[in-house]
Amino acid sequence: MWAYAARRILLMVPTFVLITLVVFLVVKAAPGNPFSAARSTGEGAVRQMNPADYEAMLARYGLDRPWYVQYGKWLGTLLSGSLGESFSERRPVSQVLFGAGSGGGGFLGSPLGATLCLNGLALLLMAGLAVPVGLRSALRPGGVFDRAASGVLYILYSLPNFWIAVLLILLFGVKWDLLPFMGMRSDGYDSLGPAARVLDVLRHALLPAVCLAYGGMAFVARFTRGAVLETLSRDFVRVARAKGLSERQVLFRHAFRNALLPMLTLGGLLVPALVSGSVIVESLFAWPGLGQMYMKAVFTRDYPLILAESVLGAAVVLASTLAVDLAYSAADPRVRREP
Amino acid sequence: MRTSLRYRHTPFLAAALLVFAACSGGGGGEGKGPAGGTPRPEAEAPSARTIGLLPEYQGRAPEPGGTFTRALPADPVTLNPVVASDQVSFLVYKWIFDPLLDMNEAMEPVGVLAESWETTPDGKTTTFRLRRGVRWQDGKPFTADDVLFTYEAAMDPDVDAVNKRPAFTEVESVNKTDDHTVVVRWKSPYAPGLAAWVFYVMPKHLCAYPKGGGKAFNTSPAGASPVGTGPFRLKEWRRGERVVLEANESYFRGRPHLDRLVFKIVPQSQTQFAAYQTGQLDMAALSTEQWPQVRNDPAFLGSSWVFEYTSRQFFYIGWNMDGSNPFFRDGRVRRAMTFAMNRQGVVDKILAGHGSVATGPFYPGGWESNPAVKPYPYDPQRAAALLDEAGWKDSDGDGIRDRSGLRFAFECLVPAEAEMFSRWLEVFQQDLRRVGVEMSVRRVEWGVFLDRTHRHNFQACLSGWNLGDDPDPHQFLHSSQGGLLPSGQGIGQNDVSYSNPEVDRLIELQQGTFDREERRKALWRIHELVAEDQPHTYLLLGSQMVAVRNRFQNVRVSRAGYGLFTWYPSLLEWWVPAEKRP
Repeated sequence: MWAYAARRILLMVPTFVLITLVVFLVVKAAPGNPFSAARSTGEGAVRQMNPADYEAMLARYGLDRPWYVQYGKWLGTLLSGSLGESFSERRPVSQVLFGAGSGGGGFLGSPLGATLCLNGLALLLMAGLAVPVGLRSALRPGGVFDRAASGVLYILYSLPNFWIAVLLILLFGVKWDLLPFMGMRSDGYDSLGPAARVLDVLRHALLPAVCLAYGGMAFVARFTRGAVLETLSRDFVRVARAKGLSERQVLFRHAFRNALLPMLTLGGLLVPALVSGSVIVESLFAWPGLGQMYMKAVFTRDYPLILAESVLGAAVVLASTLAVDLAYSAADPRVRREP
Repeated sequence: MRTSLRYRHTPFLAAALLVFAACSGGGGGEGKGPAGGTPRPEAEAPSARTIGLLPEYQGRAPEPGGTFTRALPADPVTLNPVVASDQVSFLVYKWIFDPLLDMNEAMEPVGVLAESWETTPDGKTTTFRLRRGVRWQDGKPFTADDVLFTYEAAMDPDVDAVNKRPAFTEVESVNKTDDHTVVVRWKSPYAPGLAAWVFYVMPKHLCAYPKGGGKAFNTSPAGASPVGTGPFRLKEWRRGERVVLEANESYFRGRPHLDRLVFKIVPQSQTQFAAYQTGQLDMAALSTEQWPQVRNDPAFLGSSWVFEYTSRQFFYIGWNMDGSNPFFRDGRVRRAMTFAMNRQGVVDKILAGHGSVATGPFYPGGWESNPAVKPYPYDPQRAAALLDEAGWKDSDGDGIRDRSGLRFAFECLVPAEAEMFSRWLEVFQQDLRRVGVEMSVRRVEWGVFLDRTHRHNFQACLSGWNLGDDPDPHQFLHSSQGGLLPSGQGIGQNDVSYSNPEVDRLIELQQGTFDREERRKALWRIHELVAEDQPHTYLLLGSQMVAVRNRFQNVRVSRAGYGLFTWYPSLLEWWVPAEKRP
C-alpha cells in the first residue's frame, strides 16, 4: 500500500513538470509580454516609452532571455519555495493568491479563499440535490420521476450560465430585492458576530453558487443513477431481496453503499472544480475569486501569476486523482497492483 | 525624439475600448429626441446638463458628510502614482495625492500644489511657486524636496515609470531655489511641456530609497499604504472587494465635503447598473441599451442626475502608407475611402445617436480644433470618381475594382475584444462594396493587435486614440514617429507612416510656440492639411452617459470631455444635504 502510494507520487513529478512546461510554452507563444500587453494599454503606451527604457525593463525582469532560461529560472524559484513576483500586481504571487488586502478579511478575502468558499457551496448544492434525484431515478428507471428529472436536468444543463446569472440578478437582486448579488460580504460585515458573518457570506454566495451548480446537476444525477442501477442488478442485491428486506433497506443498506465505490471517481472529478474559478460567474457577481484573477493574469501576460494558478490547478487535480486511487486501493484490494 | 504628453488622460486603452464596446453594445435603434419615445417635458436632455444641483439647495452652503460609492472594473494595480500606469489606479490615487498642476473642467491648467508658475519669454525656464503650509497626511510639511524626489524617482531607470518619462524628454534639469520654489529648465522651448506637471508628488521622507534601490521602489509599501497630501486618505483596501478613502481633515483647501469615498470592484457593467438601481452604487455608466430602459422611468429620473458628454477618445481607421500595400499611398484612394463610408449612419444606427463624426485628431470644440474643417459627407459617387481617377477600375466586371491585374481587396485589422468595432466594420464593408472595394475584417486579440500595429504589419486597422491634456499631435502624425527600430518595433505611434513635410514643420512650430493664439493657428492649419491627406479616416467620437444619485449636489461635468472626475476640483465640490443622507 505505502509502496504503491510512493510510486504514484514519484510518477506525478514528471507529469507536474510537463504541465508547467506546456503552460509556459503556450503563454510564451502568445504575442506580447507583460510590458507590451499591460503597459501599452496603460496611461502611457509602450510606444511612448523610450525604446531604451523598454529594453531595459525587459532586461530587468529577465524577459530578454531565451525561453528555456526563463523557464529554468522560474522552476528554480518554485523549488526554492516561492511563486515569484506578479507583474500586474507588483507583489509576491503567493500574496496575490493567498492574501487579502489591508482591510484584512483573512484567508476568505484572498482569491483562493473566495473561490473555495463559493465552489464549496456550489458543490454541496449540486451533490445535495442531484444525488437524491439520481437515487430516486434509479428506483424505477424509465418511470415518470426518472424521465421528468432527466428532462428537467438536461434543460438546466443546456442553459448558458451568464444568461441565468443575469436573470437571477434581475429577479432576486433587483426586482424582488431578496438576495445580494454583488461582492462577497456586506458593508457592515466587520461589525457582525461570527455566526452573522457566516450567514452574510452564505447569502452573498447563494446566487453565484446556484449558477455554478445547476449545470452540473445533470451529470451528477446521471452518474448516481447509473452507479446505483448497476449495483441493483448484482447478485447480492437479489440475495438481499430474497431475504425479504424492504426495498428501502435494499437500496440504502446494500445497493447505495456499494454504489459509493464508483462514486469515488465522481468525487475525484469534482474536487478540482473547487479551485477552478469561473470567469463569467465570478465577474458577474463581482466575486473576488481565482477565475477573475486568472483572466486578468492572461490578459496582462503576467507569467508568474498564470503559472502559479496553473500549478495550483495541476496540484489539486493530481492530488485528488491520487487520493481517489489510494481510496480505491484501500477499499478494493484488486486495484493494488504489485510490480 | 519628442513625445507628446498623453500620460494622464490616456486611459487604459484596452479597457476603454472594451468598456466603450460594452456600453454601446446593442444599439436598439432608439435615437435621441422626439423620435425615440416621448421625453418628459421637465426632464433636461442629458447632453445639455452641466451641473446637478437641486433648486432648493441653490445658494446653500455645502454641508460636510456623506459617502459616495462607485464601482471600479478592477482592483488598482498599485497606489504608487509614479509606478502606476493603469486608469483604475489613477482613479483612486488621484484623491490621495496631489499634482503640481491639474486641468480644470475647460482644459486649462490650474495650480494644485503649485500656487503659480511662469515661463520665461525665451521658453527655456519655468518657475513653480509651491503652496505653503501644505502637509502630508502624517503631518510632515510638503516642500520642494518632495517634488525633486518624485521627479528623480520617475527618471530613475530602475523604476518602472516608463510611461511618465517621455513627458519629461524635453526637461533639462529640475532644481529648487528654496523650499517652495522649483525651477525647471527645458532643452528647447516646448509648449506642450507644461502638461507634464500634472504630476502627482510623493513624500520624500517616507519613500526615499538609497542609490540603486529603484527596483525596490517599484514594489515598496507606498503602493499599498500610500500617504499623500490629497483630499482623502486610504482607510482600507480589501483586494478584489473595495477601497475606502476618508476625508483628510487637514487638506490645504479645507476638507472635502464628503466623508468617504468607497470604490467597489465590480467588473461587469450589467452588475453595476443593477447595483445602481438597488441603491448600492451612487453612480453608473449607462449604455445605449440601458438608457432607453430608464429614460421614461420616473423613479429613476427622480433620483438621478443624468449626464452625457463626448469622450476624449476618437476612433479611426489607419491606412498603412509604408508601401507594403499597393492601395493607400495614394491620397485620392484614402479620400475615396472616407467618402465611401457612412460614418453618420453608424453614429445614428449603431450608437443610437450617442456620438459624433470626427474630423481629425482633435477634440471637437476644443481651442485646438479648427471649426472650419467639416466632416467628409457620405458620398459614394465622389468616392467612385476618385478611385477611377487613381486608376482603380473594374476591368473584369466582377464588381471589384482592379488595376494592372490586382484586385482592390484589403484586410482591416481590429481588436476582437471591441465587439462594437466589428459591427461598425460590417457597415463599412457594405459601403465599400458599393464602390467596388473589398474589405475583409481580421479580428485579433488585443495583444496581437498591438504587436502587429507596433510593427506596422497591417494594411488597415481600426483603433482608438485618447486625446491628452495637450493637443500636440507629434506622436501621431509627425513623420519621425513613423519609422521602425532595428528590433522591428515602431518608433512612435505614427503606425501608418504618414509623412507630409508641411505638417512636420507646423508640428515643430507649434511645439515651440507659447502664445496660444499663434499656436492655435498652426494647429488649425495642421487640422486642415490632415483632413485633406486623410492618413486615417477619422470615424467618430462616442459619448458617455452617466447617472449619479441626485442627493449629491454640485455635481459638474466637464465640457472638455473630462467627465465628472478627471479634472480639478470636480468631486471636491460635491456635497450631500444632511436630510438626504440614507
